[in-house]
Amino acid sequence: MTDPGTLDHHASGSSAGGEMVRFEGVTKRFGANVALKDVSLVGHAGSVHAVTGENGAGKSTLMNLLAGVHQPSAGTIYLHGKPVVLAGPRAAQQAGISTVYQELTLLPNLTVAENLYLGREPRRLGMVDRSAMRREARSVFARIEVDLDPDAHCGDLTIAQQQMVEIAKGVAVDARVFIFDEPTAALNGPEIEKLERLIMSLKRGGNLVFYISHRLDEIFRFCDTISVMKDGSHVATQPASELTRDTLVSLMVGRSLDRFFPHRGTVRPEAPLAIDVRGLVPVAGAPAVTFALRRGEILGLTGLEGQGQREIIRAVAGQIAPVSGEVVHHAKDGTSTGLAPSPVAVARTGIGFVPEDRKSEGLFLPLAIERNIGIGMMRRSSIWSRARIDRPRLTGLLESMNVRATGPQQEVQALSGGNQQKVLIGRWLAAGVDILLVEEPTRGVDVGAKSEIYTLLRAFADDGGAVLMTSSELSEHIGLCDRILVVREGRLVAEMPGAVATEETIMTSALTGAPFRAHAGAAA
Amino acid sequence: MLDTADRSRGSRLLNVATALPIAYAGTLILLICAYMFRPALLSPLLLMLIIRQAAPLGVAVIGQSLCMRILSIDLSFGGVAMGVSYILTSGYVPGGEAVLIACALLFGATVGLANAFFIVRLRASSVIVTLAMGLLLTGIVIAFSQFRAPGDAPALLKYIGQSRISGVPLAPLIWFALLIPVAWFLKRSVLGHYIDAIGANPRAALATGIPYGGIVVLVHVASSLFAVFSAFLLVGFVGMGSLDIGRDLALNSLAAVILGGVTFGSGRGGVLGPAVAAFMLTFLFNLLTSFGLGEPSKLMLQGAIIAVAAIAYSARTKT
Repeated sequence: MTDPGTLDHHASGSSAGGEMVRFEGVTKRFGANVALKDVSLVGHAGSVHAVTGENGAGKSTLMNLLAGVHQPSAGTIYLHGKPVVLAGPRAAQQAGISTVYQELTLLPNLTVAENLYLGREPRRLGMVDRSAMRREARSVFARIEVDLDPDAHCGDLTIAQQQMVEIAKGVAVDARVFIFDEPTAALNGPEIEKLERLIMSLKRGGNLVFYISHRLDEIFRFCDTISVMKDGSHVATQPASELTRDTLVSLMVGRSLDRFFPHRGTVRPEAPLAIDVRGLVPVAGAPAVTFALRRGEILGLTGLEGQGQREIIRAVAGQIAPVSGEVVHHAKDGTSTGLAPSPVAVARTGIGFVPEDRKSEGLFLPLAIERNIGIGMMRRSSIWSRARIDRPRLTGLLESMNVRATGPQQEVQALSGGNQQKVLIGRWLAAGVDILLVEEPTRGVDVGAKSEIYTLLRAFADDGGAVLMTSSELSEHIGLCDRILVVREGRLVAEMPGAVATEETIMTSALTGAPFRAHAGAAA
Repeated sequence: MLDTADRSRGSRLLNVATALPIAYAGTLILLICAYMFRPALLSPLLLMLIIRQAAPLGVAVIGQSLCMRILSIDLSFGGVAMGVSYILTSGYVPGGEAVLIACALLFGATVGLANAFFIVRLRASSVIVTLAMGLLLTGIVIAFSQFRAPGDAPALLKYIGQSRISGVPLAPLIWFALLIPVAWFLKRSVLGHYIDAIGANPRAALATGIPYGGIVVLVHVASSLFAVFSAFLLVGFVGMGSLDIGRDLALNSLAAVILGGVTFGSGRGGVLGPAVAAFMLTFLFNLLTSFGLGEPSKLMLQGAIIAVAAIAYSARTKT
């Protein structure tokens, strides 16, 4: 089945140490879904090893197997050359594997020291020995050169500090393998530098660090070895020094970017308005934002995670009631109406909202595809009227969107992520809306469906619609959007045409708040 | 080809069979039980009486199933029924029968509005709100009846409760006359589709622009009104007001809805299943009485039914 020989010639990289972790022929199924297919991969001591790939490529699943969260359906994990069974997170910890999750798992009401020794408190005479706990906590912090008060409550710490406690937890139990799952998502520049120093000190200590991130900059800055996953398979593992940004991206995407995304639109600055946002303050304490969305346009709101993009798009969608400001909808026939901040009013007006978490906020999983899409067709009907589902239109839509299902009666929960997303977007297309507000258009969607969704959104815009979207994937903004607005601390700090934006220009504005340099020459 | 088609049809049949509400199999088992041990219960006359006896519960069950389909619950039925009984029979309310009935309906609508207000506006748990509402109403009625005991029921309700049309009691006819249009309406209307959507995922319903708050209000008002209709039938049967009326209505209707296959969180469940379950429960209580098992066993059984039904359905939704 597996041929370990295929790995050895490119797994060594620039790292010096011996083999520490080996996945061999690992497969993971969730029901009918195959999340990982026969993955073989080696991690070495003293290495910072990036695991990259698009969303849904299987990198988190792979790391969850190592963290004991899931167990492989087939294949073996070797630790220091010996096969191990990681039956649960606790077993993984005992085996010396420490995980720093994206969502932190510290208990906010306990102190730093208490969290550090949770479940294995030092005892004296049957009681928790607090002074020993504090002492040991200090010594661990000294080892990783972190300045933290063991008596501080974890709820009072910044996210960066909480991460340090998580890392210290691993160091305290002499973990040798560290997994970082998107650790920098919520960190600012200086904090990222601190994290870098920490990771480098773990590396010098002969540990293996698995680093999961979407951010190419960081991958090249921190990591010596890069593994690329795609659609659940291991594509390649190469030393970072032998890869360029472009080769990495094409490995991740599996094709070159210009074929992956549809053609860009040609939006003239005088194109009719679709939505006019004036002085919108989405949540208390946020600055006011003003921008316009034009017909034919796909407009992206981007920035580091949690900078307020989500609040802005949700306020426009009526999902949260803004503190102040105005959202004006301009219909195709030239009439304009101020939007009341309610999902009902927004849907009636002809604006579809596609939430980032389609399972919890978008779809009715136990209901049929037909019902899920039909709900959109009823947006203008009185609740007392007869429910009319335009079946020919529905079938045509499912066909044109290439939804893979047994038929309109199939329950949505049985569909793959990509097809679910198409159903969710299809709800609004069937409803005949002329504006789409889309959060994370392709989260958890496989690569093929991604491209189809991009094409779908482009066709919608070309047809006189308009799309406002957020995404945590910069490549998506760059490839798909006609115009990109960068949000930092709730403020629109830069505006750039998608055709000339790069990850650097976006990240520079997102991190520093600097406006787009080429902006002066570009059309508004 | 033929073979696989055959097999898929077989498995589809099996799926349908296991997806059927417990009430269908339960009713069948009870009927067989009665056939073996108490064949007298199966005489047309007694069956008709049992169906008549099931009618008030059946009407209340329509309301309860509406609530449960939007993941809410209504435990105020007992209090509503007592209130209605008191309004109709105490003589406090001046005016003729039409006025009394109108007052009872208004009372029911007000209770439903109040329930919905607390649930939607204050985001309180529907279990707590409606349970408290039921207790509050019960307390008020008991307090009032110290001053004036309930008396005779209006003649119209007595007529409905006790008369027959060519041998068929009127009460079950009224039950079906309410049941069938509601079932039809829920299947065909936008409201029915919205209710299913809310039952499947309330958060998504809200985000999608379904008028969630309005539907909760509507459903709770309707639910209370069905409790009022149920109380009409009960008062009509007894012929006079009583402080005992509708005491079991909330719990029994809950049990019937669960046995009838309305599942929390799936958006599934018809109106027929709960109706059959209402008959099944009534038949069961009669069977128990005929075996000489009294009130305590009835209560234990009620509890067990709710527990078993809830477990069975949560197990099914997991697979």
